[in-house]
Amino acid sequence: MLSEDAPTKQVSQEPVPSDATRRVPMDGPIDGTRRIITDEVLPEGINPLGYLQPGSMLLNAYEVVETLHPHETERAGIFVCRQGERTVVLKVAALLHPPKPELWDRLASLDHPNVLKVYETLQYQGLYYEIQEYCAGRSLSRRLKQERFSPDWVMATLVPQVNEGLKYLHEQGIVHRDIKPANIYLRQDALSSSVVVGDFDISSVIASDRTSRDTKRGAGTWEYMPPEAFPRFVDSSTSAKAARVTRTADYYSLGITIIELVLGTTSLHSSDLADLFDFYLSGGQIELPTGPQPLVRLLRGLLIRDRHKRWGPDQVDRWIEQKNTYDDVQAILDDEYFSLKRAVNPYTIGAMHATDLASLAEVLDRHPDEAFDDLFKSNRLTTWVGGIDMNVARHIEKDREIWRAEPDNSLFRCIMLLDRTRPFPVLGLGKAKTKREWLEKIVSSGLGEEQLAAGPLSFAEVRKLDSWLNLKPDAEPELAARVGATLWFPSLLRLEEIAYIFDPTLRYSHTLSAVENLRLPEHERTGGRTPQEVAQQALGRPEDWKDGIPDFYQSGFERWKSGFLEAWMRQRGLGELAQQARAAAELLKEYPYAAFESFLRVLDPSLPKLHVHVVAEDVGKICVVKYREIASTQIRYYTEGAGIPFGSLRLAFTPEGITLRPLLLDSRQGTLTFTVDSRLGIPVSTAPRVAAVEIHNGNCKLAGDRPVLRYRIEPSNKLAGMRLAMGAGLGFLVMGGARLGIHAATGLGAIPPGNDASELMNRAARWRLPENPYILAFLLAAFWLYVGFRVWLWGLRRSEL
Amino acid sequence: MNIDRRTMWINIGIGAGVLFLFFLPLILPYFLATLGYASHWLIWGIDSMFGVHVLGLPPALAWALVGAILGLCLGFWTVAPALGMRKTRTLAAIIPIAFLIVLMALDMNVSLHQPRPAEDPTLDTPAPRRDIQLQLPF
Repeated sequence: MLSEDAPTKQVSQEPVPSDATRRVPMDGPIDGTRRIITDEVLPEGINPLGYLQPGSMLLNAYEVVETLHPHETERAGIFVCRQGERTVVLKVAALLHPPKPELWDRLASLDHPNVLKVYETLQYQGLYYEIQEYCAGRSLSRRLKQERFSPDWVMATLVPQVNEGLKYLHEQGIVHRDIKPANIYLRQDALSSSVVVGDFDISSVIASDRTSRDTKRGAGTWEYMPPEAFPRFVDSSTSAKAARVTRTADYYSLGITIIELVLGTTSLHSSDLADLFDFYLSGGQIELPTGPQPLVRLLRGLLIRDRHKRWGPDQVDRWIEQKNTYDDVQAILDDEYFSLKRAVNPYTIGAMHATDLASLAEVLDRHPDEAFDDLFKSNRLTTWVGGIDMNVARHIEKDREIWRAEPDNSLFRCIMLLDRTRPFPVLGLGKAKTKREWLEKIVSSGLGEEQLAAGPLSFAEVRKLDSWLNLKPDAEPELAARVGATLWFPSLLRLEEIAYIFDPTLRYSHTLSAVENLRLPEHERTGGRTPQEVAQQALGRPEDWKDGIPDFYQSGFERWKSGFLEAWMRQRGLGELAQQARAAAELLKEYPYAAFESFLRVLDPSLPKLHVHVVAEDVGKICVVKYREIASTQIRYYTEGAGIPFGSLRLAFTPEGITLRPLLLDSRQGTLTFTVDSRLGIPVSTAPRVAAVEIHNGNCKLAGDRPVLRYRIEPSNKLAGMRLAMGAGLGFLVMGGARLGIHAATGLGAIPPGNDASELMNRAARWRLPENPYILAFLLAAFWLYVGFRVWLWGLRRSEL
Repeated sequence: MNIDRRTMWINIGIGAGVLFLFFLPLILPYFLATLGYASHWLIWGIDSMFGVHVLGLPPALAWALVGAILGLCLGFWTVAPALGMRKTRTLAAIIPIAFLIVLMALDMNVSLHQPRPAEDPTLDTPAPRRDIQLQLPF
């Protein structure tokens, strides 16, 4: 029983400093440390109790057994006391932080097996006393210093009992706000005993029909605080800076508590407050235990950042019964897309103010000059955006660096990043919400192709189009890449290519450009849908070719040369075929029509061949060439069929010295020139020989009379006579001279040889080199004359080759 | 042939050449005699081939006539294509050569039965000279 001068069970009505809290005041600057508010006024004449020796008396009735925490100005004192046989805990509120009156009234009336029982609340000599039940098992944090808690105990004991306790508190209109291991107790000193929730120092009372309350006082131990309790964050429901007190906040804290109990610590415990803001803003995930799976699911539910979707008592009940619904799981999955925003000051340019990203996009769009300055010359823009969404700000910053060389596009990307739902501004033609609308605006603008090329299809504008396709909500990055790839083409080709990209049904016409084709009503549009159709339409029918090259062929050729056909093929998934066709055309690039024809024939290899005929009068012409001379003759040809022939010509079975020009057919009619060079070893003949012309490769074949060359080399009698005479004369002189010379010089041959040894010695002794200088000179001159003659012959032969 | 073998033969050739030069002063008279003997036989053989003995012509004239025939053949060989006689030229070359071979056979038959110089005492041969020395620089 209380003594006579026991304090009345009455809460002081004197004004309580409303900002008083022993925890971090969140409205102040963030420096990551726990700050003491220094302008507090201490109650006059009251001193803290400090440490009390065992045996001291409190309130004249309670004998102190142990001081768990001394009473200080800023910290509550906690004393284990004995009153008769009963052991209780006396908690004396910190001087600076007297309890909230509305809570103080209710504490003693709370009665639940999982809520710490408060027997009585007293005010005595200016101090606030709570007489609480004594929990022999102490707090979980104290136990955590020795051991970790098993997931099984957490799932089987802790979660159901704390859930019951919290449910009870919430029914009473109380949000605990400070669930953590230090505030959860074991009633007995055994894990099997019941778990109680205690320490209502900073709890808030909210009306039972509301789920949250704005508060200027952010409070709680911040590792355990849910994101919305930080006053810097705003979620979708508010733009105010105030922090929020929510019922589900307790469940978030419970989630962190469980992680700490199981793992011993959490990833948040190692970070300071500023880190924690960034952690939440950048969508970081708290490290969870790896198992068991039900516990992980529970934790993911409790740690949902969106307070409206976070698991509360009902979901936890269902989890305990293992009957979670689809919505419960979906809430976990949705959390990945939840983003937290910071509360911000309006962004001002000129007379316009932006309060969110979408309005900022509009402001930037209307004030491009200032926007350029803010984007490129300072960090004002990115800093402001970072206050709302760090991810967007980083994206903008990254884009700014990537596209620094193209500031227009950089600003456009910035605007699109701020509001991805913006339509695309077609230069001078209004705004387009879809790519088809863009194409319609271009087509219906009535602008000439050159005006389009300078305006909405200029490099900068198409770059923006590329960006827009990448950044709009239903982004089409592949399409954007295709559009982006057109940037390096000439602008007319770019227009054509984008038309094919945006209208996948558009056909390829040899006479009309894509825009001209689009301007026609749908049923009047011309062109081919497949490469075969395109190739056939390029050639037309043979009748069209009676009066020379038809106009459609010429225009198709010009369009092909400009690359439009390849553009169409690229955008119809025929890029590989186009590449093959172009490779074939490249080989013939010196003959443009031949290149075009071979391109078409790669598209449709079944195109019929052209027929090449020889003009009847030229059949059977003979080319007569004198021996060692050159002559040429011509044969005319013409072509039947659609297209321009090309083909490689060659002569069959001809000796060296007969040539044909040209070696490649590349026009519908012309002449073939044969040249016969008889100096190159062509045999002389009295009867004409024949050299046949063949076409190998190409798109044409020979028809009717074959174009052949008939030729004859006439013999030369004069040359023959000279050769014979010279041969005989030289032979006479050389051989006769040699015999004379040998005899005169050496005496050899004067006597027939014998086999007598002494005779041999005599001959050897008589033999000597010629001593007569005239004979020696003659021999040398003859030798060098002969050598000179051979060299002359050799040179003659070389020059004839 | 690999490089080792080739080198071996080249070394042997060089060695043989050096040995030959080393011993040349000793064998010079016999060496020259052999050369002269072989040359006489060669000239005599060619004379026979050209019909010097069987026709009784001066050797130089016989050689000149044969040279003219061979030159004619050679000229014809080169000029035959221009006359359209490419196929005849082989025959035109074979005929004179065959004629020369027949002539040689006849001549050898005659000349081998003529008296040898050693058997003819009327032939005056000077005394052999023994003082021929090759003047070598080393």
